[in-house]
Amino acid sequence: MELSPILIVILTLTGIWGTIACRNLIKKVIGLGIVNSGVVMLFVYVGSRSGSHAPILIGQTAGLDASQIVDPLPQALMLTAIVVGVALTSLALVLAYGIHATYGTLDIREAERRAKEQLEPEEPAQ
Amino acid sequence: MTQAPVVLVLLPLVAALCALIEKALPRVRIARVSALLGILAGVAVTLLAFPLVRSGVYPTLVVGGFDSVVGISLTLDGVGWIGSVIVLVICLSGLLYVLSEEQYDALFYFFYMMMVSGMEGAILTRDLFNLFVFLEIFGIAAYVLVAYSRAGYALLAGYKYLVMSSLAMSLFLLGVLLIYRSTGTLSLDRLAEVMKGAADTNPARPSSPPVPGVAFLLLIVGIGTRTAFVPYHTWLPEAHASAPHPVSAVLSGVMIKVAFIALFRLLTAAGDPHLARLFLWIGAATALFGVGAALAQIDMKRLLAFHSVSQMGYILAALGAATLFSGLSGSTASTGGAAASFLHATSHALFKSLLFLTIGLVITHAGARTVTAVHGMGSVLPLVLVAFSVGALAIAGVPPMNGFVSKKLVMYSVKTMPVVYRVLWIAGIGTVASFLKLSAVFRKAHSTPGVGVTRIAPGDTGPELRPRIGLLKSAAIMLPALLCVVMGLFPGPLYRTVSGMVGATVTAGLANVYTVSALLDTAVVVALGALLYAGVRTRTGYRVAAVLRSPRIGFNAALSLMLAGFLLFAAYLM
Amino acid sequence: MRKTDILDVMSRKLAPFVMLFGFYLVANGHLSPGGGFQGGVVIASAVILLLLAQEAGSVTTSFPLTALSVAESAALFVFISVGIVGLLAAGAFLSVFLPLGSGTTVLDSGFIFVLNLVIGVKVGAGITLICFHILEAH
Repeated sequence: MELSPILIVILTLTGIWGTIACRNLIKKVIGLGIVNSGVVMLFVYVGSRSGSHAPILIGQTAGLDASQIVDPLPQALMLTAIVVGVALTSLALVLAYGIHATYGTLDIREAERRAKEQLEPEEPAQ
Repeated sequence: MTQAPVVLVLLPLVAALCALIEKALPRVRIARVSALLGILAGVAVTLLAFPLVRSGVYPTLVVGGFDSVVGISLTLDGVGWIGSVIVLVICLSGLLYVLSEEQYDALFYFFYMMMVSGMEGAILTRDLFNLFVFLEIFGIAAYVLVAYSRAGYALLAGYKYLVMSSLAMSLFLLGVLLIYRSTGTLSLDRLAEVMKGAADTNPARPSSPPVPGVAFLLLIVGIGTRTAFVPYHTWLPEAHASAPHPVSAVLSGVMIKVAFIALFRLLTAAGDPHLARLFLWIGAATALFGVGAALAQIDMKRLLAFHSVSQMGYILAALGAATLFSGLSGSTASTGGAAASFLHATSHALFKSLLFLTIGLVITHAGARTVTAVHGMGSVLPLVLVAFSVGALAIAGVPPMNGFVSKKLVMYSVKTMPVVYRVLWIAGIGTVASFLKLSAVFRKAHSTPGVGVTRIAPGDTGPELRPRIGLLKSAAIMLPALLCVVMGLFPGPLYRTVSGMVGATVTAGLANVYTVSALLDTAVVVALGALLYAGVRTRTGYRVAAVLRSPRIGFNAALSLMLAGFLLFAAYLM
Repeated sequence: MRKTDILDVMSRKLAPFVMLFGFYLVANGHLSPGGGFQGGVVIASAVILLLLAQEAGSVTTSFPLTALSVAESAALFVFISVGIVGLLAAGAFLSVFLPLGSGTTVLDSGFIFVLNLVIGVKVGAGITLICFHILEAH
């Protein structure tokens, strides 16, 4: 086993742990970003093992055999994944900002408690 | 007609573009008209494509005109056709509701149409990564629509939905990575060929399968969070309860079905019956848990949302009983599981969106959201009462609604598994009880022992204060209601159509729908449900319900539950 | 942000070069690392640099919100039209209908250049709008 994929998997697991265990809303979003980066790196790593040249067929790489060129498909897929990640991060940050503006807290448990009070202010008297 | 798949995705996208233009230039008012035209045109295309799809000729095209080996292909096959019909009809009734209200601006229409376009794309695509992209497209639209009212609880619900779903989608990407690494392809058709080839050479569980089993597990976890089965359901009650009313209808009615269709495509490509059997147990657990939690709720929309979870359990249990995945579709061993699950998905889409729209009208007119605070709406909104009754009878499985037909078919398909059958039967009792509880908002107020003073609904003082429901809203609730009744009265042709679309050729179970024993069974379930409801309304009942309602799983615990579920499934598959 | 002289002068001198680099990335997307999204983000970062260092009023005068929204919608419109023209002319959505040569120059690359440009404009406008709203510059 090479070192790189192990390190990337550890990074991804750290991101997953951060998303699950942190109580701050912004830290959860950062955790999501780390998971996204980890998955992107894994994809690119898997694609890069087949060759060592950039997948552009002009200039210096014009006469190369297909097996010497890095696999371009994972790179294209990961561009899309990064774009999706950017959109999700910006949306999550806007939602976190709105939660802070309404409840005055960035702690998930505190915000849940206040949301519950807002929705069900009184329990029917027994 | 070969272009039908991409046209179905493009039409709502062009409508979204028109809404975006209206957002940029507020004087060009084209958003509402283009949204309505977009969905109606989609319905027209789907109806025109019906003869072709029914005869087995599926319009397929590859985006960009590339070779089908390397390109992204979109196919309108039988399953895709059913999905398109569900999406377009439910979104049409939701759109009618939205059009009747003034408060939704052009941005709302943009996200609504993007959601429709994304759902169409997710149903029609045959490429794994394209499926990821479309799932994220309608996912982002859904997060925004859930948080649209900008109330604190709506923002929080949207945020939780986003974080849970994004985490699951990253796991989905990991699964795609593993599949790409082992098979070199991302197309579902090639994947099915590879898996079938491996299974043919070694029919018993192959010791070295071409694709590691954990890849399919990751994909299932990813899509499973969108489908909301236990333990991935925790986002659903809050998100569906906090969203605006038409959005709740579309989310509960269609979005979880689209994820279910993606799950079905995945299981067909994997072709592993052992994997499919997992869903028998997931389905049973989900159905029972959903109903138990629903019975304890007092917020109307949260009760309906938990029922969505529970009914999805029925659909998944029927899928687990399907013999389609092991290639036994025409044999006598088949109990029609795949067709039953799709039929129940269609029925549930119709009656659940109907219920959400009617309860939305009740909440808007009464000004309160809880069962304890609203009474006597039956005399205030009679049309809504009729529509709600259709929906409630359908979900409880009472003839002649479509819910009766599809529930009986689902129960028939799992009859070889007595444990699952009993669990689903008990869940049916719970469903009847909780809808009796929900219908209390329509009944006249009376003092119930053990309940404190409740607020009477405004406008309850006479027929002259009855609020008018506009034509659009009436159309929005009558369309699904009529379809529920029609589907229930003519089960035969419907079941045969769905069966043919799904690829099964067995029509077993149809003979058992309108028989004396089935009707007696339904009567027993209804009677037990009424008993359960009476039990819930006692003092001990209230206390038990309060206890069941109070431990709201904190968000961190919910996410850990997701991981625990993943490990549990992995242990099952080993 | 408190406006200081150094930030003011440097940002006004740097921003056009950043934007030029962004357009270079967009235009050379099919030949070297870059493309629509990457170039678009760099274009947006030029405007954000100005927004952070200048006062909000002058930036929204140079890049009005209406113009950005219209640019966003127009870019999406052009993208979908290109796809539909491909559908009508060559039978599949997003089929290549402009001449496709060796792919080395701009005119020889089919419609990839057009799509890159359109995506660059849309992403640039979109991210700029996001940052305008977050930084409350309207």
